[in-house]
Amino acid sequence: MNPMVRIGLILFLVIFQTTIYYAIPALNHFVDLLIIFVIYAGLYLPFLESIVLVLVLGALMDSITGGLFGLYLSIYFWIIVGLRPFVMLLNLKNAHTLRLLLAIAIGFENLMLFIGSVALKQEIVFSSESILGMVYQLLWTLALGPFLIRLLNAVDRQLVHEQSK
Amino acid sequence: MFSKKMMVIAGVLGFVVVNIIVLFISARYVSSSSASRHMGMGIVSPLQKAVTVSILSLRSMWTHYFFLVSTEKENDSLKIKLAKNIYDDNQCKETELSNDRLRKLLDFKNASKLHSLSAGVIGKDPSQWYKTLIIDKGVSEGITKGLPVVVPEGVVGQVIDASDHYAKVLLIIDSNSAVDALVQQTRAHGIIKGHSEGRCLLNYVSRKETVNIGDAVVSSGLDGVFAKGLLIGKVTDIIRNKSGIFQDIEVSPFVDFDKIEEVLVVLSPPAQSRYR
Repeated sequence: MNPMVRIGLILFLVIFQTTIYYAIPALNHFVDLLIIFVIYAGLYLPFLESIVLVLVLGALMDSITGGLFGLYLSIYFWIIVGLRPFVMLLNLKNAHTLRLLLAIAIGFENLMLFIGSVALKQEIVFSSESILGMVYQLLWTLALGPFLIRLLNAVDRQLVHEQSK
Repeated sequence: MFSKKMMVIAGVLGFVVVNIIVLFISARYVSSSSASRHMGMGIVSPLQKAVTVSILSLRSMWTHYFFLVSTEKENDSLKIKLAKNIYDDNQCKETELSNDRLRKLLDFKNASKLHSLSAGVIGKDPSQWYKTLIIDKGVSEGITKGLPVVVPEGVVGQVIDASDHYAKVLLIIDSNSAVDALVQQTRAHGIIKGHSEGRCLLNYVSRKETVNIGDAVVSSGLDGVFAKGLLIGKVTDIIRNKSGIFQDIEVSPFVDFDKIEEVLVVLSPPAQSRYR
């Protein structure tokens, strides 16, 4: 996939998650598409390219969220760095392996968001609504994540194949 | 003594810790309105606006032309009338109470109406941890950081960042938000803070004050941001602990934050846009 197409995909995912999810209440706690993209980039794209892409994604997210600037940049950067050893060690064709990586990434993301909230002197409130929301999103992501990661990879390979013709 | 692998892991963890420290420092000393942030908002927000407008058009087409044409239109009109009536009713209550208190001020002048600008909501915060909205008006339209945002039903929040044509609004249900408030019936004073499950807490209300479930909570105007008398919510629970000098009051906002499509940004400071 052309790098510009990948950046277009990032924009599409950010907009989808911040507008379509908001407009359709049933999708409020649906799959976290952004973390799926980050895992896909970390596993299947060249390291440097994946770093650049997630930094773009992080900067976009930081600009539209209410948290600290740099928080999403940090989260996505460390997920990509942390994924590198797994790429060589694990069998990426196994859906359970992908689920494990997704669960660790989501756990790390929420830990960093928690730290970001503490940094803002925010009064941390663990409401049943927000915890349920996170759990639903985690379950959806674990259920559909491996399929979506493979779909992204398949589309990417198909585009590369057509470009090389 | 240590293997190379251990050194690498320790190095990475060290960098993560340094990263977190930098985030803490930036939270304290760096302004949230940076150019890079505005650039990102400038890229994403026009697309958010286009998608939101398309969704609203599709939804409007569906509800008005394919689904209960006349009922939906009547409902829309009634909702507008109801919102106006709630606003008028609240204004009347505030006027009545103010007249009682300020009877001696015979030359009490009519306060000017809110000088405000309407804006469309084009996106929400993707994180579960923060409660913010993106609106389609920014610095070019006169919006600046700190301006209050309202709807006829009540207070929505405050602008925390504004780029050329877009702005970010911190909702009153976010735990970073604080609004100086009064219980409308008893005039008990406190601070409204975001809490959980779309609710707020009215903090620092003395145990001596009488507050009843169902009482309306309005802005006091003392914070210099929100005009006096704007509706915030109603009291849903009161906890009076055996110890402590304050009581815990839970407030359910009148605004349904999941369904806001348009908001009003109040452009003039409270001193000029005071309610009666």
